[in-house]
Amino acid sequence: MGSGGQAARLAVDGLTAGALYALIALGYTLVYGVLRLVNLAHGEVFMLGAFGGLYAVRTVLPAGADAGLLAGVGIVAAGIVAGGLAGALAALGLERAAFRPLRRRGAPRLAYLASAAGASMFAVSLAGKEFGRRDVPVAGPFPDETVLSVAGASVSAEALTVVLAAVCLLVAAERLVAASRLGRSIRAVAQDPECATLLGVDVERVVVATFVLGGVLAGAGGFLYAMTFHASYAMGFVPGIKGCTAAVLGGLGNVRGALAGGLLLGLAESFGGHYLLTGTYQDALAVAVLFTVLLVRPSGLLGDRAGRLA
Amino acid sequence: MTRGSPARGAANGHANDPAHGFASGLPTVADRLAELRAGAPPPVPPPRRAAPADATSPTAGDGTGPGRGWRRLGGCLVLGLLAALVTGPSGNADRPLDGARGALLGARGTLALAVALLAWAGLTCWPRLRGPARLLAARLVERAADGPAGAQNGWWSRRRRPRHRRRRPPGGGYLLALAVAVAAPLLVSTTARQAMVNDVALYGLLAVGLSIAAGRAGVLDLGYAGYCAVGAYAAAYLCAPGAMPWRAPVTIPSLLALPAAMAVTAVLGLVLGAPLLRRRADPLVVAVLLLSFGGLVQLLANGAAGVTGGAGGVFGVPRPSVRIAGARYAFGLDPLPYYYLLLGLTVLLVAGLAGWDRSRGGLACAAARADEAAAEALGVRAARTRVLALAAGAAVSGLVGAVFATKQFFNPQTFSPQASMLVLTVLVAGGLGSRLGAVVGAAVLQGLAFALRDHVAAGDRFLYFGALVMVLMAWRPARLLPAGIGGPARPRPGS
Repeated sequence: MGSGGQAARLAVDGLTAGALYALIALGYTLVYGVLRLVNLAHGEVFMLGAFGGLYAVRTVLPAGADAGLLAGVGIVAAGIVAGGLAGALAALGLERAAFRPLRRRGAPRLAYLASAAGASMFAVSLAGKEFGRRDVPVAGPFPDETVLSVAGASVSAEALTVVLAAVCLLVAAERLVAASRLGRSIRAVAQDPECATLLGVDVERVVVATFVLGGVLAGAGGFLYAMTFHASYAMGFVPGIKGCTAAVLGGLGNVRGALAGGLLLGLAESFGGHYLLTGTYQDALAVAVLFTVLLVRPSGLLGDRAGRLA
Repeated sequence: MTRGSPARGAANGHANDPAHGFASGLPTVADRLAELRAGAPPPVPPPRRAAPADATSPTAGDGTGPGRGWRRLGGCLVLGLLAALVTGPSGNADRPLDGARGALLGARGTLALAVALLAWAGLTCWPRLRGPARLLAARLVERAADGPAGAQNGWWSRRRRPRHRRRRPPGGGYLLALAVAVAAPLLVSTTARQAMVNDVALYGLLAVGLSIAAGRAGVLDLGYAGYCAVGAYAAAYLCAPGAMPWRAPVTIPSLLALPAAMAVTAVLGLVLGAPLLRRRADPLVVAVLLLSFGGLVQLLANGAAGVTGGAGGVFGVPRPSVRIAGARYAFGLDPLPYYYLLLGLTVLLVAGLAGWDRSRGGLACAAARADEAAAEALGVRAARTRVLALAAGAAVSGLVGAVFATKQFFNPQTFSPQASMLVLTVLVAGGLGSRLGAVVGAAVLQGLAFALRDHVAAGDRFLYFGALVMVLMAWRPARLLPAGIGGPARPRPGS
């Protein structure tokens, strides 16, 4: 307790969890930026992505088989791609089913929340029905051994993969939003949808693209999460809340804020869970953090926009 | 689709993306408006698809070509597939395709495919069939009503008009509902009675309580079951010394525990709401926070085994007993007294809300919901109204929790976020705008679930409930959620 190795281990754990939270948080923050809505069913996109990746990996790698390192990397890549694809499909369907009809009819904002909550309930029950209502372990392709030692903390191949993959995805998404044509239209719509339309941005298309982008990230994150822990039909709720917490923490609508918020939340949970609370209450920390941030700075750490729209 | 939605949309600001009107071009909107004025019957859209007559989306390109029809076919097929999956057999984690295969091959899949194709055909031909169909309907209605009124407004608006003309004395509907509610449990079996208490009466009262916060103040409280848990644990703590590991210094009778639980949860609602709602935080973020609060309560109840008894739950809270004029009545295993207790509480609450809605406070609440800035300018303290509404809703939830605690065993799982969602479903299905809607929603939804209990697994109920919420929200969002002043937001046709 308190040794350097311990702190490094906690930091590694926190970064792993934080990178996953950031992946989810990006979806929240992007959708909020474009539509000013909180997509309550985003956790279910995460869950469906996990199952997509899980079954892809099972198809590629029959249970019990041992793959080499290179093949392992390939398998994880396949899982990420499949998870991202499943997440994108889920997000697309979600946008079609729970958001677009309401947008057409000019629904009050709370209606979207209720609709997304219904979609979440639907997706969870459908997954529970089709995939069974218990935890499904994902056989990771890597043997459980230390490949790296950082400041006295041993890092398993799995954790390393998760962090690397998540960081790559996050950086790619950040660059996409910051530098590409699509990212420019996303930011334009986030700033002023009317003006963006007048300048030739296809708002509907941007909305769909935003959902898909968030879905890819969440789905891939879901697979990475399932690789670390397990997949289950109810796995989306808690990470979903935490992803949302991270997004609010960094300021809803702010992409870099979501990255920072996710990492910060992961680290806070990791350290707080060790030094302040026992493991059971670790999840409570996210709520406490969210509360505190909303009390002190309602628009988040880096956000300036969340409070403006009343 | 909501009549008069352009005006409503404009008031709603960002959520209704204003770009839509520009992108789809003026003629379309004008056409649509003319169509609305003419009182076109809102075609009941298939749940997840846009109505066929709706303005084309920019993604649809020109939107009129054959691509639209194909996309519609795809939508119908996807819906059919989902329907088959939802009603089909379950799979499991190792063989996830079993459920899908069982659902899609064989009679069920064929049926779903046929229905999907039929729906597609119907939707595609609807524009051509609409004119004759409306004419036919108008003729029929005219003949049935034998009224001189012209059919130029279409059958939809005509069917509604007589209701306005023949105004019954207010309260007739309430009396009827009350009579049905009083008589209903006497006519059914004991199993059904149990369900009436646990599913209908409890959820009805909860939904009425939620309508205070969600319907009147516009605070979508997604953690509503959390207060219920707090109320239940408070009741157990106060009146059952042995039920939880954490013992109270004094023990109070069960009936007194009900107001005590209300007080506890009301204070909790104040403590939770005051800091949140007074800030100008986004209401959606507040809703998410309340959702996570509900999850947190469950988590704490589960985790703090030394205080609450953990996942094992709480046994043996004494049942309430009443002593009136020497006669003593104790609640027993029979669900009937609980039913009437809950019914009485519901009646009290609904009557109270009916009075409150017409009071100064109720009007202030409606005003603040409709336009916060304007209401504040007129002296309404909007933030305070919201906090109080949240606390009042929390108190009702706590009361229900306490009643539940004295009735039977409970554990943290009883008050899961799913329970909150179910309350919301019930409320939304009944309509947020109307006072009795919550109760009716509970009776209809839970009654259906009870009637189908042999055919639908308990866990699958949420599939249907979730789908129902989505369909209702997509169908009539403005009518189901408050947007305007004074309860039901009902824009006049053609205004």
